[in-house]
Amino acid sequence: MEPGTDLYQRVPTVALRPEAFGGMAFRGQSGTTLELDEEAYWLLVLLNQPLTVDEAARGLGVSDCVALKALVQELLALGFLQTFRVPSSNLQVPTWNLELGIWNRERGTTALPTDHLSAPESIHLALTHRCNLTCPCCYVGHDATPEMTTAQVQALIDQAATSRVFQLALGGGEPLLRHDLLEIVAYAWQRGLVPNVTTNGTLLTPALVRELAPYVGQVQLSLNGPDAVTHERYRVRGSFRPALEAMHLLQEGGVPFGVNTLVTRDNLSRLQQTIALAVERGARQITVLRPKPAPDATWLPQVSPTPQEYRRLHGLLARAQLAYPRVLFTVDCALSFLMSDLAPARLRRGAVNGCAGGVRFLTVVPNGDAYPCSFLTSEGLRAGHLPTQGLDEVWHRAQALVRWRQMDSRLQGHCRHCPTQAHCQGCRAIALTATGHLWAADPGCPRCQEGD
Amino acid sequence: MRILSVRRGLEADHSSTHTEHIHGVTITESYDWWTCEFNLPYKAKLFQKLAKYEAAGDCSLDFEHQGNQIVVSFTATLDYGAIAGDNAYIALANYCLDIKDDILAGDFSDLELLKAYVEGSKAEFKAMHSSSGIEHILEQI
Repeated sequence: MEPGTDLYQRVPTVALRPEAFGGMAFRGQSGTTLELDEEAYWLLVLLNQPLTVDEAARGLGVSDCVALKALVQELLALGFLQTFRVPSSNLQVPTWNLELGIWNRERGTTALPTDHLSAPESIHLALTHRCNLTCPCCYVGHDATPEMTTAQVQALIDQAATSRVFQLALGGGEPLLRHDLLEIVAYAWQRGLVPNVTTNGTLLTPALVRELAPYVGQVQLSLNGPDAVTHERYRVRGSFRPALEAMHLLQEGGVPFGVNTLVTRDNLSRLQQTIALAVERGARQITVLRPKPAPDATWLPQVSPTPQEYRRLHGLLARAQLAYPRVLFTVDCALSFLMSDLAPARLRRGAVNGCAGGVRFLTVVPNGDAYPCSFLTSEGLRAGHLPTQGLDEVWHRAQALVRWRQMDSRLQGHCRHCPTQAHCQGCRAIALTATGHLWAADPGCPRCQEGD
Repeated sequence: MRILSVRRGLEADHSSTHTEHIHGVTITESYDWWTCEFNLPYKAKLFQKLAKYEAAGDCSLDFEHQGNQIVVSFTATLDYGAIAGDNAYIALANYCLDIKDDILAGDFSDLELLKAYVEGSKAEFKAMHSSSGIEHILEQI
């Protein structure tokens, strides 16, 4: 090998998982998930050792080095590969094990499902339904649902690790009320999952932040406004200052954090200031949430933005992205319609596929019951009980999930005929609450309301 | 041999799941020629109205129907002095978002101005004012 030759190698912390379409790769530091075709996936498998582009091409048995070079550069830019040069002093170059033909040997030998992923990308685990706050916007009833023991949660984490689930989104209720939260977070990290914690922040202490820091991917806090009046309108009184203090603690403790902002008619006009405050306090991700059904049935229709306000929201977020290019702006999948006027190729590339419940993630409630979505936990949508049935059995065979994944053929009304159905499907929780029918058109969608 | 999709950001409970917000404005530059592109939802009436503003010259203003989208694109040269230290990419992207909002609100004054700009009608262009204010950074050649 010539001195000065560029070598490429997969970043060691990147997690890989084969799928029927090729495979997936996940980089925990940035939370980036890639879907790859077969050749691109096996390139990442092959690059567990440092190789030149020519060696990788031979290993894959491909002749198109131009396309391969472009792909390598793209993976490099996304942080999935690292590169280095053979130093001129190092002429003792080891013979690389090329594993020639690995792609051809392994291709087709594994039975992977073709109609759904081999495992969830993430599990959303509500550790408890207990909470120290009683916010009117919260969809979780403060019931006394039995909770899985520490050992049961760890067993679930073991199954998730075996199935190569990438992330564990821990929430509640208020997950910090679980005395074993730190133990669970550390265990998930040790088993190779990235644990993220959603909390109201009021129970964070400097000591807890220090203990969480080595193990947690990101902490997510709520911030609904830039001032106490706006923030507390649909949260409990006195919760604004603790939210700011929690951001301070996390920033001081070096724990990456993001902010969930519930957008309503009342706070949309203050969204720019809310974002500015969160960014100033160190948030690296802003996730905008659509209001969902709450125990008080009159709440949702009162606070849901109008079609014009949703169009305004799209523009506000776009401008915020331009103003804060280093901050990641995300929207919950119930807001997929915000992006429905973009080109389909761009939506596919950005993985804007609409409702991701039961498709990319699985919801697990405190007692271990699984559902496609956090907001739909009726008996008819229960997919199974993970501690007794196991993750694989539930994910691949539960009829509730099988039906859910056939959503496209079950949708009714405007959602059935919407030209952007492949990238949206509306929010089923909102449709069910508003109409009584799970598969009805999402009545809050601007396209539906405007008859587009 | 390709990446099918890229999704950024860690997952948080309570957020259903999330997807990166894509703002849909593309700005490219080549030898000081700037091309701006954004999409609108396709509606036949809107497309008919927009077609009236198509213009071509050294610069161009185009509307293309692609599936359920209308792709709006225009090329322009910029008065860098008017941008005054701002990032030209960000300035143009913000103008495009303003123009998109204006069109969706039924205000076509930006397009009237862009048409006059593209057609090289200097006197007309100078006398016009758009909702977005983009006239302040365009330079006629």
